[in-house]
Amino acid sequence: MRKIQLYTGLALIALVIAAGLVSLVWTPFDPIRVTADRLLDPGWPHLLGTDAMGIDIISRLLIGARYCLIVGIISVSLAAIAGVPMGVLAGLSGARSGWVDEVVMRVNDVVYAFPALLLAMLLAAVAGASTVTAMVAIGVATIPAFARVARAATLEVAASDFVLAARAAGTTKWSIAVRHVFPNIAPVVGVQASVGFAMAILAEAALSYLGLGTPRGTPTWGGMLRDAQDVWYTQPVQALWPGLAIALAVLGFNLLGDGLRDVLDPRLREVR
Amino acid sequence: MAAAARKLGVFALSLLLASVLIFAVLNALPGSVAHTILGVDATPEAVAALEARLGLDRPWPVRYVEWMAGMLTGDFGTSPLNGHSVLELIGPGIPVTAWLVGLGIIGSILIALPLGMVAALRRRSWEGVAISAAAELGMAVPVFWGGIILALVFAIELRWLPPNGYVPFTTDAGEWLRHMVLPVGTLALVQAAVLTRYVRSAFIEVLTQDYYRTARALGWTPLRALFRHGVRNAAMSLVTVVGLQLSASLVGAIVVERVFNLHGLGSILIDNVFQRDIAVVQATVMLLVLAVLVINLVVDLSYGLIDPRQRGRR
Repeated sequence: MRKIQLYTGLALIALVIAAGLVSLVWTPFDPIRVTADRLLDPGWPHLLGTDAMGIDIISRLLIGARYCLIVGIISVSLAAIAGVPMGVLAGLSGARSGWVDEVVMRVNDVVYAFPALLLAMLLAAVAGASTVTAMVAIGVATIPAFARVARAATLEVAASDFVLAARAAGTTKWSIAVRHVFPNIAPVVGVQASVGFAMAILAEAALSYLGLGTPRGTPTWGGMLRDAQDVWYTQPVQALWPGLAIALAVLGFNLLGDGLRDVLDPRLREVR
Repeated sequence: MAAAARKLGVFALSLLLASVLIFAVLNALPGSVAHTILGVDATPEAVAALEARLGLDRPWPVRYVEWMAGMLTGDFGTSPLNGHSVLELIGPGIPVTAWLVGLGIIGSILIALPLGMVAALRRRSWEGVAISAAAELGMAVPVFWGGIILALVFAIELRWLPPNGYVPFTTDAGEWLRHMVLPVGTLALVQAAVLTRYVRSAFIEVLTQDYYRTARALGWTPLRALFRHGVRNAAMSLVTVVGLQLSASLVGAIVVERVFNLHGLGSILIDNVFQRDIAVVQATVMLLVLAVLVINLVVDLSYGLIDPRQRGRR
């Protein structure tokens, strides 16, 4: 019964991935080219109608799935690759040389004060808004979350008997990290990655809605909502679909995160 | 006392690091201010002359110290694009954003506290499950979509409220309120979804404690036991969450201002990002980061006030 979260999450994510993959080879209509069929109501052959540029909305939604996944994968990977080793380093050195822990975590606190949106604005102000600046901003802003989670998990592993035994046997700190710490903190990092993916999708959507991420014209869900707002007096339904797509994708990754937490770490399971 | 001093020290250090980071990103990366003003086909001589006039040809440590010294004395600099003082440009936005964030967080607490308590107390029955499910769904709603939907329903279909714009409180309090309902409501509802989950787990935590069981064994009703013992104990974790929520609201407000066309700090910031007005962006981001850090500091210091056990701890 508890696994229902996990499976619902996986199903929603599979739907988004399928949409993204399909868009690579096929969309019902051209997702970029402007046509004269502007603002058609939902019907045949445009099932969800067309936007102010005469472009089929389903086609744009499919392409949007691709951008949402790419930004999510790259920014979460960036954050995990930078954040997890930082957290492990801080956690392992915490007991013996406190200053490494202190420095790493204080730097993380400072980055933590910069939400992805503010970082994206700083980057957009100097380099111009693009998908790349959005990914870098979201990735960097997510590093502290991974570092904190990895540090807390490392402290727990480092206090365990098997690490004590390994240390007594003369194993170096490096191989303790690789052989004992990383495998044991992987589940926690996995949960964080899933939740971080949901946050990344929300951040990406907000950035493209504000025009601070992937430029307008490229079909992204956030950008489509911006376009829909321009025609909300005449075509209010257009504001439904992209928002629904974002919400389902975010829900999918949040549910996956909750489900994984339950399956991987029964101690964290909520009292029922 | 030593603990409070240490927290203040960390706060000052974080502020310093943040200012270096903002300055470095805005001044070290390519994309010169002079080029932006003069256009891409400006001659190198013209660019050099303008940079000299704006003082941009001097080494960056000098400019950084000047910027910091200016901010400490209340001088936020001058926009190189239009010559206005930065404070004049961003000043009018501060009350808009402050109202939005302040009322938004109060609204979200008013929604989340009762819902979260009910969800905790009745977690095994349909009310509790329904609230948890609604919160899970609410967490997935992007704040700008929430705003668009509320505006579609209450402003465009029902025409009860204006879909955008802002009227200062001092001009017309009634109109101010009418214009604030939708933006504040959007922010409050979206934040309440996250907050409800935390309130629920904080109170579930209380429900498993011995003191709660003892109180119940004495014949107290669940609500009385929860209010007399639970609230103060749950407050510890809730203060942390509300602090995080305040920072998140600040970001949410930037987006909501855009949806409802309010001229707050967020709108001003975005406009100036597009115009590449580095001086305004630099000052506004610094102001927002300062707000986030102050919130964190207040949360940190308040632990000792709520929970005597935390006093003197690091």
